[in-house]
Order: sequence, then structure tokens, then C-alpha cells
Amino acid sequence: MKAWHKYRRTYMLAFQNAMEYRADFLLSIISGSFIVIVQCFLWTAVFSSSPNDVINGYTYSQMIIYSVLSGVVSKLVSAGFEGEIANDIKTGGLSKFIAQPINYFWYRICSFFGGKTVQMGIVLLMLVVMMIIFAQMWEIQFGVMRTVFFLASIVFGLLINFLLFYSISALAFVVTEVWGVFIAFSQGVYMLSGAVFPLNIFGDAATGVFSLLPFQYIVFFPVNIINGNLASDAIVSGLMIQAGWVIALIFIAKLCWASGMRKYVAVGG
Amino acid sequence: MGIIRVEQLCKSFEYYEKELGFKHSLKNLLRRKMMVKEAVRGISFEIEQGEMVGFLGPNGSGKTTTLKMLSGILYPTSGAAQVFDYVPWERKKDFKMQFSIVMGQKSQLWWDLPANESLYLNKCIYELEDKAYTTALAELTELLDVKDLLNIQVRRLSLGERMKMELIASLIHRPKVIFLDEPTIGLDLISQKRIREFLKYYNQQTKSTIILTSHYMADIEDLCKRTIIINQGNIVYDGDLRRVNELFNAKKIIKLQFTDEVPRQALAGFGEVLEHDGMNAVLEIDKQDLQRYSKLMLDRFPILDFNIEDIPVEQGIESLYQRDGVRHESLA
Repeated sequence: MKAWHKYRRTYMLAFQNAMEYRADFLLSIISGSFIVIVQCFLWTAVFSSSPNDVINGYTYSQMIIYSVLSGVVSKLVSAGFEGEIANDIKTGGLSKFIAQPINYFWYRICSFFGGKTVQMGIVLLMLVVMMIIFAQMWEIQFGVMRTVFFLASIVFGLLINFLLFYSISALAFVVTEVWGVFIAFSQGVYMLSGAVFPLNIFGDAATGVFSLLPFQYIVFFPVNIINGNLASDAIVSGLMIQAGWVIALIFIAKLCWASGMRKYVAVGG
Repeated sequence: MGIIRVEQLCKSFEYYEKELGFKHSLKNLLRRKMMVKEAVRGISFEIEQGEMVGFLGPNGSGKTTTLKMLSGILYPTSGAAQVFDYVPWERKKDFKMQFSIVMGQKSQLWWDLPANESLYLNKCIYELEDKAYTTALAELTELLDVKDLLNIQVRRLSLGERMKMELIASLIHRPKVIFLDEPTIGLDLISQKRIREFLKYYNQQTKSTIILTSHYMADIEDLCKRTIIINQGNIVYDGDLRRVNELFNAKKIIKLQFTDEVPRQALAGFGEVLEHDGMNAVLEIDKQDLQRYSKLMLDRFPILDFNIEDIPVEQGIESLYQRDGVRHESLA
């Protein structure tokens, strides 16, 4: 029996477990589409009342594509396990992972991907459908290379988001009621990642600050690749920065958890 | 040399005190009074391989905290412990492969999936070969009589059935040391008995070392030759449970029933009045005075019934708890 089998098995269990909550997932897709629809109407109104064809560097079609795809991508990379981790810490469920020969980080990552696989499949399918529709509507060529870069940047975005939330969930070691922090954090990430609006809207100064933070590499950067807003050298350097953030965040996560584990009090029976 | 060795182990927790009410909640926002609870205060013991030892103590006495330190879940504040030759809180993989902890109030099973899925995950976690797994599973399900329940979602199982599954999940890798924290909590008498019988059999068959915490006396009386009684973080007794009373051998209990009412004050001179309602009384009397006082009482009071008894085990333990409590209050 090989050691990695435990993680493969965790993945498969999480996969099966997710199937128990199919309706949940369906509802989350429906609710996610509301905000996209609202944005499309909003931008249509803005563009039709403005004398300019380009607003904040986006044409009308680019803006609509951005709004739709950012909704899809943010769904694709969303985390949502921080509550589970906090609960493990707060109620002492983490104890069993300490007592068993399994690594909590890898357990979480496998359980995360296991729970997300079906969802990701469906969302990716939706993405393809959207792209075909857009290609037909505005006669846009997405190109093979661009699509490959896009997918690669989504994988990095997913990792960045996972690591951010994994690190922040270590706060539960220090603060018992972390729900408020999580909600604030996830709303902050949601906005700063560019899932609501393209970040250019906030002006040059803010954009400069954002480029120093990891958040825009979760949604804003991937969507701009497929949107045709970035030149190829900007795409390559962006991917490198993403990889850099992944490495940096692995260290940060390890640090947060190492100090948290020492504080762990394993409450309850 | 013992398989588990504990020396001067201490654990204290920091916490905040909050008084009742909204006003104090606001006050707590600004300044919180830091408190330290010494959950375990320097305990030492040694356990041999194959022993089955019971930890007995009231709620919050430090039983569970001790088990958590022995399984490496908690870092101690000070002191040393070794299980096999490992320091538990170094959390070495080789150590984890050889022991198991069962927490009656914490489930390690996946709630929405059948138990056999969780069991198979544990097979993978402990890197068991297929054959070792199937034999262990067949044996354990047979012993606990749950073969038919393996394919049922865990959330649909009864508490007793789930506890059995928890035990199987924890024993599937045949651990040499097993920590059981309240394994029978919340179970009915029959299920409690089943689990006790199983543990007894398992301990005899596998020569595994077992530490069991419980506040059900029956669990410990039935299973453990040796009992460690913990109160307020101290070991107050270590030995055979049935001999707890030898500590109190100097005392006897006298139960009296009267035909007429006898006031409490009239009895007080003979010893400590434990219970009194006029027509009945229970007294604790020094053994040396027993004969003399019995005679006096029979002469003096309108006695209907007269019984001399040993102090019951439960009461012995209770007095142990109280005795210790007094000592600490005076220290503080």
C-alpha cells in the first residue's frame, strides 16, 4: 500500500460526498448567474448612453465578455472550505488529523478538488459554450495559444485562492469566532480579484497597488488573457508572477499553520 | 519498563472570564481578565504493555487532556511523556501508525457516506495491505455484530451502531496502544455492556495496551484491574478500584431507623451525620469507637433498625474528590 493512496482515496470520498449535495450546486450556479445578468444590463446601459466606444480600455463586446467570464472563472476558483477548517479548529475535529498519519494540508487540497471536480466539469462546459456563443456573436477568434494560457492561469488562480483561504483559516486558532473575518475577507477577495468589475475602473493609482497584491491574479488576469486585453509578453510575465505568488503563499500558509498548531487547544470531548 | 511513561506532566490553558450580561460583554471588548486553568498538575505514572487502565474522575478533572497529550494532540506546558519510545507531541508518523484514539464525542466517520467508505479511507491512511484489511474488518464486524450496517449512510445509524463503527475505524490497523475517551457516553445499558465485552475480549486477544476514560463506574469496575483516579488535575489514587476503600478503612457507616423522631444534635456527638430526616439517619463513625458508640446509641435512642456497613466504593471516590478539592482551595 503506497502512502499517496490515502490522498487519492480522500479525493474520491470528497467526490462521492459532493454528489450527495447536487441540488446545492445547481442553486449556486443559478444564483451566480444573477449578478452576471445584472452586470450585462448595467454595461449595456452605460455604453449606450456614452458617446465613447471604449470605456476604461474596454469595448462593449470586451466588457460583456469580461462580465460573463469573470462570473464563470470566479465560480471555478472559489474556495468555500474555510468554514469547514474553522469548524475543525473550533470544535476540536482537527484532533483526529493530528492523531492519524495523514497531512492535513494535502488532505484538504484533495478533499477540495474532490468536492469540486464535478462542479468544475460543468463550469468548464459552460465556459466553452459561452466562448462559442461570443465567437459567433462578435466574430472573435480566441486562438489556441491564448486558450492554453487562459487555462494555465486559471489553475494558478485556483491555487492562489486555495492558499489564501487556507492561510486565513489558520486565524481560527487565535480567534474563536472567525465567521465575520471570513465574510469580510472573501468579499474583499471577491472585489479585488476583479470578479465584480474589471480592476481598471478603480483608476491608475489603485491599479498600481493591486498589481502588488495576489488577488488580481485570481480572476482579473485570467479573464484579460482570453479577452485579448493583454499582449503575449504581458501574459508570460503575469504567469510567472502567479507562480511566484503560489510559492510565496505556500510558505505563508505553512508559517500560519505551524504557529497555529502550537496554540491548538483541542476543545471538547 | 512501561510502554507508557509519564513524568510530572502539566497542562494549563489560558482563557477569558466573562460575567453574565450585556454590560460585561462590552467591558470585555476593552479589557479582558486573563485566567489560567491548570487542567493537569504534574501527574506521573507508568503503564505496562497489555494493561488495561481506567481513568476515572469528574468532568473537567483532566482525564481527556491527559489522553490528548499522550496522543500528541496537545503540547504539554511542562513535564515529559513517552509512548513506546516516542515523545507523542513530536507527532512522528511511525508513532501514529501504532496507536489510536477514540473520542466518544467526536466522529471520524464521513457523515453522508456509508461507514465502509470511511473504513476504507482509514485502510489507506494506515497503509494497510488488502489482506490485512479484509481480515481485520471481518473479525471486528463479526465481534461487534455490525456486518449488515456497513453499507448504510453513517447519519442513518443509531448512536450505538455509530460508536461501534468508530471503534472499528480506530482498530482496523491493529494499534498496540489504544486511548478510549468516553467510549460509552450516551449509550443505553445494553450497548454499553456490548462495548465493554468487546473491549475486554479485544484486550485479551491482542495484548494491546488500553487506557479508558469514563465517568461510568461500571465501565471501569468491569474492565480495568488498575484505576487511576484524577481530580482537579492530580492523581489521587492509583491501584485496584475495589481497594479504594482501604484508604477509608478507619471509618464505618451506621444506618439508623427510629421509631420516634431523634434530633440531629443528639447524634452529632457520635460522628459525622451524613443524612438525617428525624426518623432515619446515616452516620460515619471511627472504627475504634464503633463498639462503644453502638451500645450507647442502642441504649439511648428508640431504634427500630441498626446497620453497620463499609463505605461504598462510589462514596470512597466521592470523598477522594472532595478531599482533594479542599486541599487545593487552601493552597490557592
